[in-house]
Amino acid sequence: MSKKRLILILFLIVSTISLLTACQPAEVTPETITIIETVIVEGTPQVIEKEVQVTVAVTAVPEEPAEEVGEESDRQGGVFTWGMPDEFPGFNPILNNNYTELWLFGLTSEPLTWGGENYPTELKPILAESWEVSEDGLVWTIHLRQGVVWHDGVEFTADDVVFWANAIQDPETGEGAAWWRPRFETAGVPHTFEAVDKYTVQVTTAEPIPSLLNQICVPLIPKHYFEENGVSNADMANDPFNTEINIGTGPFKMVEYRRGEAAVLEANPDYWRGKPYLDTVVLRVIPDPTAMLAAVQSGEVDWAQVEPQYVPQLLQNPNIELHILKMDSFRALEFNVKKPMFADKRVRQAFMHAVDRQSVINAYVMGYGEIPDYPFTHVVYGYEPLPQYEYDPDKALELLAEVGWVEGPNGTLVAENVEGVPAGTPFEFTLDTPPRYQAIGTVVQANLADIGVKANMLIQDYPTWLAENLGKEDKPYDVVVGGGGWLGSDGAGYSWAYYAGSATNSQMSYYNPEVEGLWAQVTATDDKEVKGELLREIAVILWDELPMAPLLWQNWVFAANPKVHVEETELNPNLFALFAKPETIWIEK
Amino acid sequence: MYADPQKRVLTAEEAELIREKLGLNQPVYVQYFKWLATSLQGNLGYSYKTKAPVLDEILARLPNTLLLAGSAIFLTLLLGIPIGAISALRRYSLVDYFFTILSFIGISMPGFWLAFILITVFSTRLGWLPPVGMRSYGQSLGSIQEIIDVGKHLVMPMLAMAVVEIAYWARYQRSSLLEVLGQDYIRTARAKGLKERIVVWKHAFRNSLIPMITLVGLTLPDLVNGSYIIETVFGWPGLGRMGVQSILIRDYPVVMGVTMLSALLVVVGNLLADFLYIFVDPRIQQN
Repeated sequence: MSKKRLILILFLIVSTISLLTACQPAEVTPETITIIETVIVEGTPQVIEKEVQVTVAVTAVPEEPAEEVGEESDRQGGVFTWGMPDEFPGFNPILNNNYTELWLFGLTSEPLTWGGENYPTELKPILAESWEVSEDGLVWTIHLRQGVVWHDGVEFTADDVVFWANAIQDPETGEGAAWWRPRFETAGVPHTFEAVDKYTVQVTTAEPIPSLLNQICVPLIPKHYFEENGVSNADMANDPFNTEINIGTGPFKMVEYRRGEAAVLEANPDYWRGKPYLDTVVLRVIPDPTAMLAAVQSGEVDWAQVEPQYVPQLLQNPNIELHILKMDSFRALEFNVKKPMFADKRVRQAFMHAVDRQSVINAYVMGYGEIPDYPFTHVVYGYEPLPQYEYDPDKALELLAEVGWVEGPNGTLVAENVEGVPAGTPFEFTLDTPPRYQAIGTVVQANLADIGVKANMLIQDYPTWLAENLGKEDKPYDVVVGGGGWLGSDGAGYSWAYYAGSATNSQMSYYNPEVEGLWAQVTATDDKEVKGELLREIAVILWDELPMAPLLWQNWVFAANPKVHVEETELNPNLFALFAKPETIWIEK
Repeated sequence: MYADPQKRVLTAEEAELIREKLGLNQPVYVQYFKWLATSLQGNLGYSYKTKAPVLDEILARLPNTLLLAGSAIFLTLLLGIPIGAISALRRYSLVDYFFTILSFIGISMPGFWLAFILITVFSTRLGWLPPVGMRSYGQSLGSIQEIIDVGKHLVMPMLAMAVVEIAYWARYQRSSLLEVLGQDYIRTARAKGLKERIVVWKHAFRNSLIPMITLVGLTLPDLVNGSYIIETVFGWPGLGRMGVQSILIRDYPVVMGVTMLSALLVVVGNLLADFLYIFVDPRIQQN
């Protein structure tokens, strides 16, 4: 080979390499981060943590990009696609309370006030502008916002409010409305809603209800639609207003629903807080989590909730931004305190010491959660951390020994003199675990095995579990991996757990007259401070008695297109109002 | 829903009331015949979840599933039969071995696995094709662009569904044609001095299609069943995905409706196959 040709080849190679390197985006720098990975040890129920070094590409974010590109005119326009994990059961806001519709209602429909469990903690006027209560606390005068129009151009008036309330109160209205009905009555007597004039509504209640406006936060529906189309309350569920479309007053209006595919919303130019920046919002239905992941990665959707196990993968993608939101949602061990094994609070406390809750969080949500230090979630009024139950198996054994559980043959605990438990009985119980909480159950089971307690996991799908346990006087279960979410800030949402009037109504068969008395005081006041203090008093008792052992508070991860601008402060841990001001979301072109 | 308020709200009496209202307290056979009677009148009941008529839910998704399954069948016919025929005519040649190996790969590859590979390669890495759904939203497209848009969404699910079928079909067609080529009447035709082209295409190929038509009838329900997985993976808004979703949430009226439709498709598929015999095999027509 001649020298000339060799030089030519060499030149070609060098230039190709330099070209290739020039194509690398300059602003992406590799960075090593440590993540905690949970590993299930083969053949054993043991779950261990492992620190893993992962190299991820971190995109350098230019300083203050929002200020530079954020001129009003630049923000106008664009399509925002939001991936929905479930098909929409329906579009009538008084009939549906599942999270996919709540996300849609958050864009299309509005209640009188924000408050209660679906909204941020502060009571905030929305379609009601102001209100006053009579001396005796029985008559509320609510002044409505004037000049608000429904999406079809008809003005919103007091008649709509009266119609909406009566529809919810009517037992003929579909099953969904039953969920709201107790909030529109007291001791079985429905509140009276009257239109005083076009923009004033008077609500009369049989007893004073200081938290009324926190309870009736259900998006409104237009009277004229149902009257003009002759839709009776009983027909509401099967009407196109529920199955195909809705009409609200929100910043976006529904224009199209393709069954199982997507709901298309368009900006409402007449919105009372101002015209939204976005032209169109598309809510695309993608029920499969892997399909959702693919949609996020390929940029098909701009915003979607993703399963925590995909986070390491998403961290490596410079085209995805993650928003982590501390949700009003918790998982817990629900004890059946009527069972002699769990009747003593020290046993429940021992469980809190015996379970390594950080491992639970790592196994269940890849570390995207917090260890609770309160029997309610962090959004409840008066929240302040209480002394933590540290992971300490020895302490757990000590507490169990006090109750009368001693070490028996081959390391298992047996009853010596435990009330209600025959001597010699080994500590063995059934841990009811819904399939989706299996990871939690596995860790709990392994941790308890370490101290000689045998938990037999019973994995049952939810409908089967319900069929076996619904409304039973004597609950058949021992311990359930359960919990709850979206229970709100004023404590009312926790009734099923702690103060349901009798042990039968409580999921834990728990009843404490002292707690019940305090709840009555909580309900009787509307002062946030006082509520907070009372709730804290209850929390101290519950934290000691632990009818339910909180394992974790869940964080939700949302993957977003970095071009989408959502103010972090405008994101709420509540379902309905995930975006506090949807009209201010904008997309870089 | 995480907290599922219903479980806390319903008392035993209320639950009983709902059972009464939905007729769930009657014996199963009574429920079944009631359902059958109303179904025959075209009323498949209402979805527990959406409250909309099941028939509406099904009709809204049927075209999507038919589009997907139809194009998959079309692709299968288009590729499976020629590949099989070529393999048979060039038996033990390099081409035959090549297609044989390819068929075995196709048959052994689970559809959902292929689906993930396709998504990873063509959507996530290359960004050529959209990974989910059936169409893009939010921009107004002209009618031609809209067809192209749906087509783009269609490519991957169609491939994922069709590859296994193509592989099977190629194998069946190969052995079917080989069998016919070994028949006495083919030898007779050749002995008559007919051109090889006429022997193969007029006598052998046509006869080899008869068993294939039985296969068409059997493939149709196969594709509908396959759509359960493929539609879920690709977020295709069809019957299969709805079937999976309604099974998960125990939406019985919808499950019944979709199952009934699958059964109907089996019957229709076989009926279609019977009609096709007439075109291929004149003997049937005469009888």
